[in-house]
Amino acid sequence: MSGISTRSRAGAGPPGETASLSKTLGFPETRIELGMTHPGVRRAMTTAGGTTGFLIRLDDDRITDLEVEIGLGHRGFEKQVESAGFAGALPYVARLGYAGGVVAETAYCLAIESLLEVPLPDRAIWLRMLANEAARVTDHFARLAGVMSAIGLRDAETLAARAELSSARLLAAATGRGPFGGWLRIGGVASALPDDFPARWTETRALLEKDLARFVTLAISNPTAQRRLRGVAGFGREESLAWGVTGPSLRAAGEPGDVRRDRPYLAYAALDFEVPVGETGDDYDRLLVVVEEIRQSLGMIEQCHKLLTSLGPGVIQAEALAAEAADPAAACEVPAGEALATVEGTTGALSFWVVSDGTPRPVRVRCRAPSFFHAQALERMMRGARLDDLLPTAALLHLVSAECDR
Amino acid sequence: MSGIDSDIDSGFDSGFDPDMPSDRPAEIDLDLESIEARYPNLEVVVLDAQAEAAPGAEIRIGGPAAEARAMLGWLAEEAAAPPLRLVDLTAIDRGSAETGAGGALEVVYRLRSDAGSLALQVVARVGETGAGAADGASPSPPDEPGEDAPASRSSIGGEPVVDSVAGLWPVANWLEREVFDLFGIRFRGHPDLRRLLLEDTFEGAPLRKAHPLALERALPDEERP
Repeated sequence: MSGISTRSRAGAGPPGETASLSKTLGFPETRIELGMTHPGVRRAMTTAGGTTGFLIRLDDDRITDLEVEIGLGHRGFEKQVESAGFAGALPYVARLGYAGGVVAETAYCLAIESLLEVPLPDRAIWLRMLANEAARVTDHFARLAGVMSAIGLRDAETLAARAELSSARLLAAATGRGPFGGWLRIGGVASALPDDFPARWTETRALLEKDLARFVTLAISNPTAQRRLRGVAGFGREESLAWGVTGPSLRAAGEPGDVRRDRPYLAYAALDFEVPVGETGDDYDRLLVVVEEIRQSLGMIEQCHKLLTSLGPGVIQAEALAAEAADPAAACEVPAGEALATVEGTTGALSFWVVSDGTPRPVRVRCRAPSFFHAQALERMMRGARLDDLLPTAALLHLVSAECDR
Repeated sequence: MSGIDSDIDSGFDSGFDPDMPSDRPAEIDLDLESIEARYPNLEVVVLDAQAEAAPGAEIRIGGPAAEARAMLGWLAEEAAAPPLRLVDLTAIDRGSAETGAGGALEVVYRLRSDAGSLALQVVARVGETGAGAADGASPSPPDEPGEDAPASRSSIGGEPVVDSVAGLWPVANWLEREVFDLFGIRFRGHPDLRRLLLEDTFEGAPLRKAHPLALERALPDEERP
């Protein structure tokens, strides 16, 4: 006997095509409660470990049923903002992501700015894009560190974690603030790039590109990674679209949907970038897509930086909303109406639906969070997969409970 | 594209093909006149596609829950190929928390085509909120099957209910659970209607305007250590 199972992976055959040992020995079905605070889950899923639980039914090591438990991270965001007001809600919006809070803030501000019919100053547009892409790089590296932890490639994990830290520092250098935002304003941003940013960016870019190349060597060509991720938890194009999967996982399934390309916002239509697309939608394709997107995002940051340098110093806040910018606690009166803004978040298509009745407090702020859909889809993705595949897949899907639970 | 040899490969061939696949789905041609004729109580509004606030909701259809839900069912069958995707499902209480004035309680469905330019917002009015109406109603377990209500009648003034769309769009499973959880709107025919974000013992529907933001409540006795 070869010792290594040559059984097909998820989706390629029914569970127990050879009689399972459990059934043969007459054992009842195994049920496992994994999480929410299981240390293995916390380590693999840095952005949702500790707030996501899994109720698993097993036949040998095959998952016959999975229930994903969410909600431990629910903070009542959508209720809170109705009291906080449009401007006062910004700190809450900033906490709807891991590093991607600034992307959530971007979507939220875009929705309100469209109701206000206030055009953004050019510099604010490019600064927001630079920050969004830096946030994407940070989140993507976190995703990579998580999946590498889940499959036991410690060198790759450490490398990705270190790169995540570098890009988080880059974002902090650009915005002058930590991970929980406070940089965006309705109508612009609070500060321009500091004087030392060009040197910072040059150094960080070189570091990140080097780390990415080393990660590819350590993790992608690695036979362990290939064996653990190829053919695992595949979700095809049709299934992905039906279950509301967006972002890198959708693109890994062969559907080239990217909000920055399809429904450009800010100045993404002016940026030169490619949208990587996979084939089978398995974990391995997801990994490749994420790696390539990091590369693309670094290129986009460079373009934003170049343009901002050429623009020089100037206005970063819409004149009409200068008062709100000066005092973020000031009430922001928004005309009655409703607006929907969709952006390409770090996890997928992120939308804010904002409804106003003409007062400074919103009637409704709805956050359509990609991770919510991905957590539900995970239940389906894992049917027939092995228990070992659960954490790598969950890590690679990048479930962010801050946005999923809100 | 993703095919890297499993032999050791020192380089990474980023040979991703950015070209769109040749078989892009066709755009759905929505027959709005037909909808208006079949469902006369629904209001159909087409927004200016150039309007900033419009993208993602260019066509808005709204009305009583029963008819809106029936229309959605018809859409799912008629527009079966290429399929209309349910990209979001939520609800809104248009009352005022400050003045206590009532408002409409609506379920909002957001649908898109794969081709990308059809963006539909369907609003199903399931009830009224405000003084005297069923505010802060606690979502209790789903009724037994066989209740005497006609299949798609919504309840005005009583507990708001509308037929589930989970059978048409499976992605609605969790979305409807969240609305049930936070708004107390029931979805008839949902396979597993129970809270999703809040704990099972929670009482009330927090996103209703009548539900206070801050609420002191005692744990049920059996949970006390």
